[in-house]
Amino acid sequence: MYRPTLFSRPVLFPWLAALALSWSLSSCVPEPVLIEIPQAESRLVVASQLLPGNFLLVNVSRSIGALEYSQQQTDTLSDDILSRLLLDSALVVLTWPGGSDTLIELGAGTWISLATQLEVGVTYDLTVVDSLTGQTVRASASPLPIVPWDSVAYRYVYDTIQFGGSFSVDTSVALHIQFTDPAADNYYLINNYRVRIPDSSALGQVVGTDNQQVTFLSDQLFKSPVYRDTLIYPGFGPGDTLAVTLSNISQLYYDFLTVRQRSGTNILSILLKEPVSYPSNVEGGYGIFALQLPDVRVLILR
Amino acid sequence: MKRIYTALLLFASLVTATAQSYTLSGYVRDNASGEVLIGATVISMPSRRGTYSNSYGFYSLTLPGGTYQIVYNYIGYRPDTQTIDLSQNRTLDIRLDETGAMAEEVVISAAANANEQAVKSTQMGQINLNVKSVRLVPTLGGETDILKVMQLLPGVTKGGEGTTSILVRGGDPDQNLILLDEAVVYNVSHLFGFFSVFNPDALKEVNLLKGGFPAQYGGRLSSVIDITMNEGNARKYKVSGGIGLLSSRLTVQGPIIKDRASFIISGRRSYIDKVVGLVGIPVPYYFYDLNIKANYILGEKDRIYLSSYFGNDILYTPKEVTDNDSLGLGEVGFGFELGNFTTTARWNHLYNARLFSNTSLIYTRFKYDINGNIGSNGIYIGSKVNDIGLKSDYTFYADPENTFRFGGAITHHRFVPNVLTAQGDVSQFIDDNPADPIFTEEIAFYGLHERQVTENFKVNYGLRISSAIVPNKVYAALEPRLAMVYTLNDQNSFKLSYARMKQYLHLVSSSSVALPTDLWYPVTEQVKPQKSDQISASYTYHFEKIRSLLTVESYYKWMNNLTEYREGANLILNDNFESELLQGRGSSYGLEFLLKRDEGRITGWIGYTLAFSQRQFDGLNEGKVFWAKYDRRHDLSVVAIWQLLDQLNFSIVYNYLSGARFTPQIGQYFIPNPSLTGVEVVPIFAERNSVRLSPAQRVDISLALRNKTSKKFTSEWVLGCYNLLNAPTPVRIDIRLTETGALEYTQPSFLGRVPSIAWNFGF
Repeated sequence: MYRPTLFSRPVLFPWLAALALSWSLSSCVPEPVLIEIPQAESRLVVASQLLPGNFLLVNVSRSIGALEYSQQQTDTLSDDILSRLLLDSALVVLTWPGGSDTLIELGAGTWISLATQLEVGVTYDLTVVDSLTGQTVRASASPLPIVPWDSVAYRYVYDTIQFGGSFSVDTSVALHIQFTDPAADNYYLINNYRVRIPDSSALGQVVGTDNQQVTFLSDQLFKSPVYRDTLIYPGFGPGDTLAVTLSNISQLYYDFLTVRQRSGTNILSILLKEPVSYPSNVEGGYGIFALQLPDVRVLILR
Repeated sequence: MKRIYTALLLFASLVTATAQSYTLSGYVRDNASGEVLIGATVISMPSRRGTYSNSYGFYSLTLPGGTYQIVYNYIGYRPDTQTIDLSQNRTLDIRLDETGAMAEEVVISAAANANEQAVKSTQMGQINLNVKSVRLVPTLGGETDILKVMQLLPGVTKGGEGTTSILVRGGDPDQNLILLDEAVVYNVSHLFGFFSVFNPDALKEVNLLKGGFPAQYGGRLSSVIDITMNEGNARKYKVSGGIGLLSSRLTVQGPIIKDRASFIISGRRSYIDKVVGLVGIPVPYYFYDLNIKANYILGEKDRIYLSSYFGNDILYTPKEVTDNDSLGLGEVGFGFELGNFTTTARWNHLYNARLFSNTSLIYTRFKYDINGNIGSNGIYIGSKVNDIGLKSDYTFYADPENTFRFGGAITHHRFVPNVLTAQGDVSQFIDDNPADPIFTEEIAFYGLHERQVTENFKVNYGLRISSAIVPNKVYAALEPRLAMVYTLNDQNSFKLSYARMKQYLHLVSSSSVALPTDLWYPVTEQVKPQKSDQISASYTYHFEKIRSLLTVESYYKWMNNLTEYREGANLILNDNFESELLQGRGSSYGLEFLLKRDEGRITGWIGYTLAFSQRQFDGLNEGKVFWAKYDRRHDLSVVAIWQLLDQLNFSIVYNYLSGARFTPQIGQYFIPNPSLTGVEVVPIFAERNSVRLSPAQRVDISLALRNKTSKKFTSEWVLGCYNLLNAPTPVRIDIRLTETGALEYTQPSFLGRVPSIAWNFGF
């Protein structure tokens, strides 16, 4: 007795193959699905720096939501967002055992303490009150002593590079640095800038920097109290003016820089958007209240 | 070790001496091919006392002297009933004829017997997959993949969409002990995790254990996936193969000496590089597998097996100087090669009708090599794990009420992680790392006793003593195991189990996806072994009318010394893993339902999992407890394989899966850069894994058309479609710019509808 089998029907398989082909052609990746995610509440962000003479400069701003600005879409930084980002007015007070100082507003979210020369070893408490929202943040830090350079010297390094059939020479500067690491745990930040000085201005008036390089170190990796190293900075050559700074920084700021470096250099983390948390010593807010003053060496490369 | 064995053998002999009974033993085989059948039920009637055939097809049933009706059963095979006069020890090898799953004329259902035995078994958290059935489940690209089918089982969830990554009961991907003929397979995937290395043509059976681990298993916290390769047809030569969209397969098997020795060789290779290359588009990637197995029956008491697996993923870009070499780079090349090689030599020996032993010598190697060059500059990164192990297992079938197992294993590991060599100018910036080998030894002994205490109550208790010898440190641990079943009747039972597991290896992976550069690393003086304690309870019900088995199982698992890496840790080119590693705790709990039908016109299962999994690491999420990345709350799978006609099967999979967890950016702030020459944007992230991706639903189908089974040349077309409805399957959260200039969160999918077609043949 004949039993029908689908396989034996010559017409069926081509039809199914055509169906499979049409599926193939209609293959696609589904449209992304939208999702609502609560945004982080806006908090005050504190940053600080010591100016020569140990005067304090404080920057205060507000954090914004992730959907308010995209680094990839710089035109998303509207005036409205900028106005919310920058504080119009705030009360910024520095207190320490036996004294206090209300900082002077310079505008654009910057406050300065001109009356107080900060002393090494004293703990300073910073309080910022947002006049608009009443939001208050606090942070404490202690200025760290300057660790001076023992020496900074340079030499040129020449690399021959082949471009097509021709050769060119790329010049880098090798900085031979040396400083003495005091006892206790210390952390260092080394900055290197090309200082641009316009011809018309007075000598030493810095109007811009570029090609800045950042190196940070923990003395736990040092093999002796005298630290020597050679740092190679490409793109520098004769005629450039180089400023090299050495800052004795807090462990918190060192951790902050470590996280920053990891998040910026780990391509997998960037591609997969894996989270990286930045440390902060600002209670109720973000940022780093750090008090460090650099030792600066200026080199005119000849 | 010898003394322990002697003592156990003596004890076994005493049990034998006190029993007034005789033993029926032998092997259960497929009549056509001579392949042994694993898990065939052997039941004496009418008492319904019985046993299973073991991984080598051997069974042993000791009963008081008398005449018995012994029923041999295996799903998809015609049962065989033998009348046995048991007035002395008897050896009886049985050959069962395959009938097909839909054979209705089978009077006594094999599935019913298997289900009834499952009701009475102390084993919990166990699911057996017959590879013949698994082949009909629709999968991505039409490539039969046992690991992806496993993801549809309750208690098992997947990592990324479309990948073979498996997470069992809230565990991590490195907590699964995946064995191929007893050899550990370290890297289970091809094509960056999208296809498993297991060629279905070479496989016979897959046994998944999620909890209630018997004492013979150890070394991983969350699961054991025990895969058995086919032995090869012992009666006639057979050739089979298939051509799919991604790869093609060819298997040759046959007798070396009829009914005494057989072999199987099965190979698979992807060929997209060849096909697309014909139209001038270079695809410099392919993978291949080769499975080889041979076995020889030396005599009634001895058999030997030799099996091997070899597979590689290869990416190669030919070194060439481009025509438009304006930069003068010279030759540019990049490539990698990664893969496994396993070999197992096994010797089965029957000391007597009740004492079965297997001794295995196992070699496993996993390695990857990555190299790249630009002109005279080159870099090579390599990593390797080599294991050589010896394992011996004994099973003593004292009587239907008492079974003893004992044995031991020693594994010598040689790890060579992150070898790094640079040449040319680049060697000024990258230091060579010759990477001295790290040697560790893992040693374990175990013993267990399964006892039928009363007619309704059975207990399986055991102890595993495990240890790892690593440089400057010796770790040792006691791993108690307990499982018990209380049977209300032939249909109902309650089960309870406890198992402690230790793990002396972990996977070094710097990201949440599987990469070729992920490598295995042993515990060290500082990095402690992972540990878990799991309790589980279940209710099992056998629906006789529909020949289905319902299992409702709950579990709670505590995990210690779990490993994670610091945020932003970069482990590529980093040989100091320990400085980046964190250890913490975890817990998981859940409820699983499984209704499974293995016999009839419609087979398949309905599985549902409600699961919770948490982690706590001092260095992550400010030390607060957070949800595990693949903490998927609900997972519903319906798998149906419908045999419409003798030559036509229709299969459908429906899967509803809660989203994985993600840590999105929810804010940002600006702060001066360290050189005080500008500002940088610092992202603010939500609490770790605090946001759940949207759930995904997927329907996969396949249609298999075969020619008549009576024909010598068999031909089968398989048409399939993965994600038929092109439904979204979110994999992460992105921020995108809308047409109006605003920003919004979106969840892109990785895979949409993927149709497939394959042709399989055999003769």
